Amino acid sequence: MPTAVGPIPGAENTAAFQTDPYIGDPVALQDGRRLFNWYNCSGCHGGHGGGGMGPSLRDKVWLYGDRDDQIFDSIAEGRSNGMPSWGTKIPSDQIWQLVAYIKSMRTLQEPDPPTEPANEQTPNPVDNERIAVGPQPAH
Amino acid sequence: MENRMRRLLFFIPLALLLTGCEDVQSTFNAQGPAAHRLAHLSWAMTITFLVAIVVMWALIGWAATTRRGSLDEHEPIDAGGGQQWITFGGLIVPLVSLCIIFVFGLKLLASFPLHDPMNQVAIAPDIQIIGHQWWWEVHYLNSEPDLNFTTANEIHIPANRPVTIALESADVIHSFWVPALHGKVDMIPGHENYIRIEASHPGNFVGQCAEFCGAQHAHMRILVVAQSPDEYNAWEKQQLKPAADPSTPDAQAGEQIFESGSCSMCHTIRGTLAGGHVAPDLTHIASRQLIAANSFPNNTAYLEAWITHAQSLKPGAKMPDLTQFSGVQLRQLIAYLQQLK
Repeated sequence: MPTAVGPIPGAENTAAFQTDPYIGDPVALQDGRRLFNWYNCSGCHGGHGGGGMGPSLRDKVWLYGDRDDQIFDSIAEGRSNGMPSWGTKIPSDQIWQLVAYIKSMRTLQEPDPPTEPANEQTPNPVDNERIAVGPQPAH
Repeated sequence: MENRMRRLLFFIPLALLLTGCEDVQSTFNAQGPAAHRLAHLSWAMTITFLVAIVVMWALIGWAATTRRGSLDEHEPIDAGGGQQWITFGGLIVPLVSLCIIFVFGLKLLASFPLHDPMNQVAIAPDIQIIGHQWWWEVHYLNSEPDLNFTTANEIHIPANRPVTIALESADVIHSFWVPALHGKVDMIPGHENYIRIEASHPGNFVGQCAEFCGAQHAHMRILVVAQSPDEYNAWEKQQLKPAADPSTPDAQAGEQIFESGSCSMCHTIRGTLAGGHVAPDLTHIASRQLIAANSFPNNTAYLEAWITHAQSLKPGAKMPDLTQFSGVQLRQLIAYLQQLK
């Protein structure tokens, strides 16, 4: 094996990190969704994890890492600036279900995904406005 | 000998019905005015249908043993006379008997104090029961808000007094049915149904969720405890109190475990930090006869088994297997739960 020359000293990092056994399991995703509401994660992170008092879980920013074990640790051990530690309160398999649900956000597998805000905020077109948009099919 | 055995097997369920045993869930075993009216209909229907079955089998037997013509010469197949059998036996007789039962049923329906959709203000339910997968959330309602309280699964009612119940569901359709007291009423998400029940004497009456609602439908049982007015008032007074303060060191340690561990995430114990509202209220768990939606006796062995291996006792229930407790911790937790009278 040739000696690598580069900015990171030492040998290649081959440490294995624990992965979530529930990734992609639809039942576990549903359970994770339910627990997300039951345990009031939604209270800080928003109803669909979009953020609120706590940071968004849907965006691409991961303050404390996006690996399965890092998300698990964030829930179990807590993080600075407000995230409580839930390790003694939530059984570990339920934490893994929550991790699976959080990781499914923004994918097609996400259970009960949020509806587009645009759909909710656009008022219904008034009839005479609709005619101005373009030719309407004859009734 | 075999014949006798068969006859015996036939009579065992009948004998159970006739003993009036309150553990048997049967409409024939009526213990309240509403159930008595239903029992009349059940008997009328059973007798009518038994008569119909006997007549039908007699006719089938007659048709099977009667021969047209002789072995040498067969009578023509369109021998005539069949049309009258069809008119009377196939049309008029069923029409008349079904009409009688229909009118009986309509009259029965009118005599029930059902919810009148045009007059919603008049309904002031005494109890609200919310069906969950797979347990019953029970709210006792009162016009004075400080007399409201919440319990689960075990429903106490005063005997000889009609009690109005509002029924709702939190997830799928369930059905509330205590056969000794009343008929089935569905619990529908987002829609309240009403029923008025009355027990004609004190006693325990068992029931069952009567609409298939998932894996543990069979373990979603009801226990209605009808009590004399004095007993009922004492029970109500006790339920209104917050949880008993633990007095022994074991129970005090158990309270710590309950509040800092997984239990408080879902369960409420009024008067403590535990305030989860997605699972049965455990404020007076020790006063209940059964646990896990009346599936298992409320004793040390079953409480321990339920905490550590709920998924083996009731697979699919929302209660997880909590195997993280040591033996000592588990004993302290049980000691705490068992003094929540």
